[in-house]
Amino acid sequence: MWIGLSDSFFAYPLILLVHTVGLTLIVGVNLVVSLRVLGVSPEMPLDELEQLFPLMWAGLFMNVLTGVLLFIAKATQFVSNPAFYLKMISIAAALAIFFAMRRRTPSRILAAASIGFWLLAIIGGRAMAYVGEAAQFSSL
Amino acid sequence: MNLNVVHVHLIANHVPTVGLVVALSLLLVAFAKKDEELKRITLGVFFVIALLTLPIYISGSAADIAIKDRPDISAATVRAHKDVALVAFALMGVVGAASWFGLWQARRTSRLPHWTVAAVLLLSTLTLVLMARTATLGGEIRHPEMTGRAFTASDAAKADEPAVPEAGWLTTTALAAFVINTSWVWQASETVHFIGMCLLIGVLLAVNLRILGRIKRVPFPALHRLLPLAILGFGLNAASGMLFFVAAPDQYTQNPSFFWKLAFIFVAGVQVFYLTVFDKTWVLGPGDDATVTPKIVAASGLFLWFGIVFWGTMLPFLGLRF
Repeated sequence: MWIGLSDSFFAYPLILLVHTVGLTLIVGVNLVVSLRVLGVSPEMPLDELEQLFPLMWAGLFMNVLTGVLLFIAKATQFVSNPAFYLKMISIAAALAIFFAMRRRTPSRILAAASIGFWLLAIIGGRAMAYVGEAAQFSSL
Repeated sequence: MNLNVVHVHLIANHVPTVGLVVALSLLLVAFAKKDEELKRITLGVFFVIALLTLPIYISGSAADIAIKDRPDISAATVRAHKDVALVAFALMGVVGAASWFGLWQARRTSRLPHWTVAAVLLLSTLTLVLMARTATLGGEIRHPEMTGRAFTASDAAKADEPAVPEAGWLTTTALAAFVINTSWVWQASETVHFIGMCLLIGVLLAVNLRILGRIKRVPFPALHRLLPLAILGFGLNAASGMLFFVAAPDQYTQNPSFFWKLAFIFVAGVQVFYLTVFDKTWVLGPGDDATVTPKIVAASGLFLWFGIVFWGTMLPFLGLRF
């Protein structure tokens, strides 16, 4: 695949860069909102923070796109990697919590769970480079 | 004139020592005169010295690599210098964080808590002692006459005879060995680095976007309250980042991406300092529009932090391959 091999020198670094920036947008916005729900800085009007959500969606768009590209490049290694499933399940859970929090009054338990699942997603994502066959994938 | 990294280190290394002497004197004067304003200024000086100490420590490792294998230099002296330098640098980081925290508290409560200033006084005195020791040992690298006898090539051979570096704790060698030989340390540090990044950027994104007018109904002081979390994120990343650096310095010292990352971090640190103490952003109530200057500062902040993410991601790709 053109991403895995370096005949296009900048493809892999650029995809990685977009994936990292997307990560900061998704998890960054979620952290701020969840921390507010947990009671850090209650003077912040919660509904106003919703104006940050478009950034989160932009991040999610960037990461689904680049994530799919990375997946196509090494699909067989990904599907046999337990860390990949940890990452995907954590993201699904975190997104489900996000929608649950928007529907009714956000609870502290959901906010804490949201932080927990996003951190698990990061841990899973990093572990993908070290667990299973994909260990050879990352040049890092 | 051919200015290389060794010269840069030889010039820059005076900043933490001389800077600490100046800042500590200022703090003592401020205590004697009960001058709260001077105390705040001094905390700002400590913060800036701490920011500068990062690239200066790095330049020392670069210099070490540049002079490696020279017969007229004692590797043992260099190692001793490096080991104290690492501890002094880490402690300087703590002084910088404590100073920042004092300024943050002073901004919120309009008075500087005594215990924070006392902690800065104590920690910076300890740091100065270690910095002075670092400077003395550093001086001995090129001025063997200070130790009372000339250093010769045969001394170098003798000093380096035990090929196995001394173990000890908190030495650079022991730390590097720990990071490289313990399978999970590097991986865990990478994960921490990503989590710290999200915390840091998440908070600063919200703060800077507020100044730019995005979540305008949030009063600035409410976002200011989150800043310690950004500093926590930065601390996590400074610590995990230094583990990478100490373990594999030659991956970084000649790497242009790393040079730019450090330069961006310094300016971004000054930008966060602006957000912490200055009036023009603090006065922004619900719905208030910021003036032009804070908006430019906020936009630069976003540029700088995402720039740091850019240079960090490019470390293994631009200029040098790991």
